[in-house]
Amino acid sequence: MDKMVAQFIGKNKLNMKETVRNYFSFIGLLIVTVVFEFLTEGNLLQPRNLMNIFNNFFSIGLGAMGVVFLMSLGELDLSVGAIAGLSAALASYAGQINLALILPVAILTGLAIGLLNGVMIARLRVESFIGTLAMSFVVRGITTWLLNGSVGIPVSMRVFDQNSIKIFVFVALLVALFLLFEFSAYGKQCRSVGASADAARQSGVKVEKVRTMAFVISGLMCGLVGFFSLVRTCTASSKTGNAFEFDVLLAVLFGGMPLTGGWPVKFRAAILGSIAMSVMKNGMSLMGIDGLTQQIVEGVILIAIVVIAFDRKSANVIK
Amino acid sequence: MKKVLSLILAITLAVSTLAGCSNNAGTASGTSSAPTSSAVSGQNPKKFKIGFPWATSSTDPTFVSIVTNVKAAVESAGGELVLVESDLTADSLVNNVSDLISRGVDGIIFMPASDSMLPTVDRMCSDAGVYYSTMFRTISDTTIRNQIYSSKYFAGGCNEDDEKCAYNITKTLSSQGVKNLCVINIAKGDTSSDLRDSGVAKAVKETGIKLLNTTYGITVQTDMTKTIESYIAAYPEMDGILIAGTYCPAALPTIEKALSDHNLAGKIKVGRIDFDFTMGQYFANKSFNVAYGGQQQIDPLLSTVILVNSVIGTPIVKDKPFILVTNYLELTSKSEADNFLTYFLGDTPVYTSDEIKKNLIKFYNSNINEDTFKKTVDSFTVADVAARHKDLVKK
Repeated sequence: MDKMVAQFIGKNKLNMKETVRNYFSFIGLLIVTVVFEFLTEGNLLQPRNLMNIFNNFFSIGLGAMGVVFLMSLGELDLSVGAIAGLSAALASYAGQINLALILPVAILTGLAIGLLNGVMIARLRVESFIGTLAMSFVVRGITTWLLNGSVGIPVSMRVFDQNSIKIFVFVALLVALFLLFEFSAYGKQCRSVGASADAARQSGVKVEKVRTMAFVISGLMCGLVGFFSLVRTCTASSKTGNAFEFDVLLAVLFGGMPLTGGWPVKFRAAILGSIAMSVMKNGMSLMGIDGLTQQIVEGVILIAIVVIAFDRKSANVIK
Repeated sequence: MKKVLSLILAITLAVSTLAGCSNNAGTASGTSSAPTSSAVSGQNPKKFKIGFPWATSSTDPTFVSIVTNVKAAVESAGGELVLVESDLTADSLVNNVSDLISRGVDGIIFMPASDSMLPTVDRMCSDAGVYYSTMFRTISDTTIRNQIYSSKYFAGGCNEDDEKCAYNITKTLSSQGVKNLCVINIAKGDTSSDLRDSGVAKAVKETGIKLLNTTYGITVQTDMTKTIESYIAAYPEMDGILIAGTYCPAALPTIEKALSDHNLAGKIKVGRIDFDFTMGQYFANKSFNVAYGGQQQIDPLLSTVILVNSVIGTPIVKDKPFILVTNYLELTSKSEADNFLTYFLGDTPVYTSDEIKKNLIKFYNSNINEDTFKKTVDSFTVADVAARHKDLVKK
């Protein structure tokens, strides 16, 4: 009898942990929102501030949606900021020829570097952590050399920075990528490769192709981030996209994304994590907290997330 | 379970939004509602808020002193400073401006990352009816300059003649015997950095100094050490290093350490633009030779004063921005450096709120005009600040 009770309590404890892990992104967002709404005396969710949160969230959200596919494979992309920077740089030069070229050049740049990353990691078997870090140095170097400072585009291009356009683009991409990740064969292949590449290969999945495609998607999203950064500031500089990779990584971790990839990866982690991080940053700014304290708070929260939500049993290998 | 959580989340967000609606009565609107009358004796201007995006995470004494001086300028007319963290890139600054406008500030003071970001900021501020002012930077691009100078909401600001300063310090190094020079600068495309490059190039051409190398974008001490060690290895003939600009904290001690590790401290002349809080000790042991700076406190202070005057409805110059060029001060001795440390980098601004109120706010003194500011700039020296604040500052 005692054994049964102990088993029951043990099972309940396990379920509680499992529930917290499963719904961590919802719970995290809820806590962050309520806490900061209270601490900012109701200013956080004022309509005009919501648009600030959205503007902060927009780029991080785009980047996070792009890396979901990679992270489900157990891969990382540390070049997202550099890709966004080069996309903005080349697009700003293209804009000097013809304004209509800005968007296609930004997207094509992102796609091209994403493809290079994919070939390097999937075909040449370079570890994604090292490969994308190296790529970020190369791309940053090219950007700095190309720009030789900063290049502007006409302020009329800010027409693309309208909230209505950004909301439409974000929702359209959200729906498309959600369907691709959760319901398409490709999304399932990503997670199966993340769970076990050998098993996936033996089941007929073209692992290299799946990996390459994931980097291409990430590159595409970075191209878009570069475009929207460019039309927002009307400037591309060597610092465009600086440290963006860490914002994206922090956001997906905030959403409870497992670094190990595989089936536990949920698309919602990217979205909810990005919102939660934007809310947190905006909330701290509203409270007048200085940058140094903000860094400390972010670090502490990240440690707390890993302690609460990270599934250490399946974290034997971080690729 | 997911549905229940989603529902709870949605309800909480909705309730929180409504809760926030009733809690903002005291917040100023985004549009400036400054008084239009000129000096009104015995009264104070309406309450106002000035936004300031800055690297608040930096503990560098110069960065901290900039906040101290901006705060004094805002508080001189009874305003409130809204400080937000920024990494000072164009992206970050544009987001900061958007954030500050939505928080109802009446004016924004910032350091532009590039010329090309200014039309965006101008559009945002003009749409919101918020005045803005720039510090440290001039506008090199003629088209952008014309556009910004014709803006109703650009109050003006301060800048320095960076080209002249770089020219002068390079000539000083030349007069001290430097023939082979390596330069460290902020970043290509940064307005001040480009102008300083140009000044160095001009002086190099005139003096016959050989410019061996210029390195940009050093922001951490390890990179600074590597750069100096690379210079030492690659250019044995190097006899001078000029820090034309850097965001690297403790740049001077890092360079001095790298030089002394190779027994070169004192043998290679070192100069820097922008004062450093460690200059005194290196001046004393003659391993540091010349510094141009001092503008890092007066420039943001006066730029903010110009903005405050516009926000409260008493602009220094009517119908056009007021652009003021501040002077670089030259330091070559330990005692000057010590005074700089005491009176410029402490808790006291280079002009206190009371001094600013009395001498630089037109609302309180209608005789204040462009000349008042020019005289203030011309009389501004380390000795001047030390004399005015000898009773205020604890040594």
